[in-house]
Amino acid sequence: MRPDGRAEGWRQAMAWLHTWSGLVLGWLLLAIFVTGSLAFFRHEINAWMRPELVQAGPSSAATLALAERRLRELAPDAPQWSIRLPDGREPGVQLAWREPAPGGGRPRFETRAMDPATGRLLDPRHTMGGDFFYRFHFELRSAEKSRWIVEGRWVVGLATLAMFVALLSGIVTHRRIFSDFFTFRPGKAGARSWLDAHNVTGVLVLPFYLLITFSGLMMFHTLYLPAGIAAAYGAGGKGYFEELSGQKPGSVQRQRGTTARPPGPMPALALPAILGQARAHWPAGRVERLTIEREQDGKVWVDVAAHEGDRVQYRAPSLRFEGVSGQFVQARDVDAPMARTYGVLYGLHMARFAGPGLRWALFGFGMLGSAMIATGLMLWVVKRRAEAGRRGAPPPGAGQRVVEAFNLAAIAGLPLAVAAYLLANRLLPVAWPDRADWEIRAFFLTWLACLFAASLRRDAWAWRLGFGVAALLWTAIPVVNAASTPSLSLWATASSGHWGIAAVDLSAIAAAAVFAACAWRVRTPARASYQASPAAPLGKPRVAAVAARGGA
Amino acid sequence: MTSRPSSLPWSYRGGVLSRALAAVLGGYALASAVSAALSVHLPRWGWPRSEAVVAGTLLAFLFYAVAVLACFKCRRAAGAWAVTLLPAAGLAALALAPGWWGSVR
Repeated sequence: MRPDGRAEGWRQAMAWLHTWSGLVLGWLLLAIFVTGSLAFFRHEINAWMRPELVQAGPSSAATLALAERRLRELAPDAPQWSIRLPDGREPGVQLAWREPAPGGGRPRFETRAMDPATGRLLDPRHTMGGDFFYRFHFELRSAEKSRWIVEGRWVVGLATLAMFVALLSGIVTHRRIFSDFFTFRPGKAGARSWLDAHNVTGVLVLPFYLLITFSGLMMFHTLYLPAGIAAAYGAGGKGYFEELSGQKPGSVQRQRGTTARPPGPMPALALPAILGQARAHWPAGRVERLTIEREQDGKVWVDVAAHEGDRVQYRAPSLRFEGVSGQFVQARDVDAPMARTYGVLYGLHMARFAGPGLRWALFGFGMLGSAMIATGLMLWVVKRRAEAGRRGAPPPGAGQRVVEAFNLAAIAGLPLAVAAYLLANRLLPVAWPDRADWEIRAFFLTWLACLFAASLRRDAWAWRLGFGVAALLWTAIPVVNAASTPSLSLWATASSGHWGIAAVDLSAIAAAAVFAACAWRVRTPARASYQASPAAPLGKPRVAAVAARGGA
Repeated sequence: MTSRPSSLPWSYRGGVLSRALAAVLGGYALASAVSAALSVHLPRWGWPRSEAVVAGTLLAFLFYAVAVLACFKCRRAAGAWAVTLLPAAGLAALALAPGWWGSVR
């Protein structure tokens, strides 16, 4: 994209595209990458944020019967029950049921946590937990019951496309992928070391970025790209999901979202016998969930789903039983090659299969991706500064100041906001009204405050302050945790072997160390080339500087 | 070093906007047409419908990304529209053809 309109080669054209496709939604991409990385540990963060669940006992052969009895008390005539058995990552049995909404609205789901040992209901504090990061990652969830979910998914989809384009154009631009791998000159002044850092983080786990981006688009293909489904199945896409999940169309009538309530209470069920058959069917596997569905004619189906973490391909296979007699009806799994390819892409993205070692590796890859995006955003600014410095150009224009402010708010501000979210979980009183939403507000208000601060100052001092406060907040997390919930202090969880929960505190300490190092490094000579910009407010009219130009 | 113009001409900015629209909207039209054409025609070779849809959609996202790259490689903005909309129109006709054929007969 040369301003003079002359012909250019693929590399030059792609360099331009790489710069701008990376910049336009770069800050959102950074947030998507960071929250997605955190979502690899959403079950552990869930457990950390619901300290009341840590007292839950171990599960036993009697757990299922206890769950059934509890559901009979809570929702005897609900059309659907669901029981999620504990799996070691998150304590407690999750009981859920569907209530048909009065007046034909969307049915509501109610959930409760139960102690697997005693059947007692647990009463955890009201929070979205790690699920907030998970939901923000793909739909920009801004409240527990947000009305903007579909819009959020579209925005994330557009950002994912931009990421995909930036990756592909980046590959064309940085042809020397292998040698870039061994080139890192941290001491070099200015844009050179930022470029090296961007190349190293970009190249190191490039297949991971391509996979996560492409699968991210594909996971929402029914929303993003419904043309194929509409062409083959008609406008509503009726029957596509059934066929995709390996069911014969019309083999089992499903009355999803029915508003009518089937008559009478849930009949007596043969759940223990059903679970026994399922365990015999998967001798080496685990059972994750039982879904009990009651139809208008009184028939009850029990679907037993294998644990999602037992294989890479997503979704897990399931078995269907007749609920009252316990008779086996059919096994459901996907065996068509394209559907399995899709399932494997989906499963690799979700990473439910990953054990602790691989999970940490994937988290590390996500952090490398975040660093790639952050260094790319910094590079945009540093390059322009270096160029302006050479030419003795006037001070940066409004466009550059906006980019600098967004960089500061995204790179130093986002970790601050995440820390605020975790701290709000411990500092807000348990009985606070709407407390789940207030935790999320703590996240967004902190982030907004960072953006406001960044609009006032963007010099080295501001960066040091941002990273310094982030280091302080992350240090505060294990301290506040130990003070407010002694049963979950690092000492208590480490000595009782709750390593998933202890890992949150330990990671907070590690994050604090990283941000302290960042705050320290901002002023060392290696970064001195990142010159402090004059503290000009964003609204100041620019003199003659050019914000948008051709060339990378 | 060549000196840059102090401000980029509006024709250039318009060209960037036009290409960006061609990339996002034209690319989307192309991706939709790819997935629709494959979803309709792969079953002729014995593919189950859902398999054809998944294969078509997987390929469509790749086409989308490559179309965006091509839009910014084109020398002129009009080329960006041509490179997305012409194949999109052809593939859309291919996807719709069985319906037209059926209604004519």
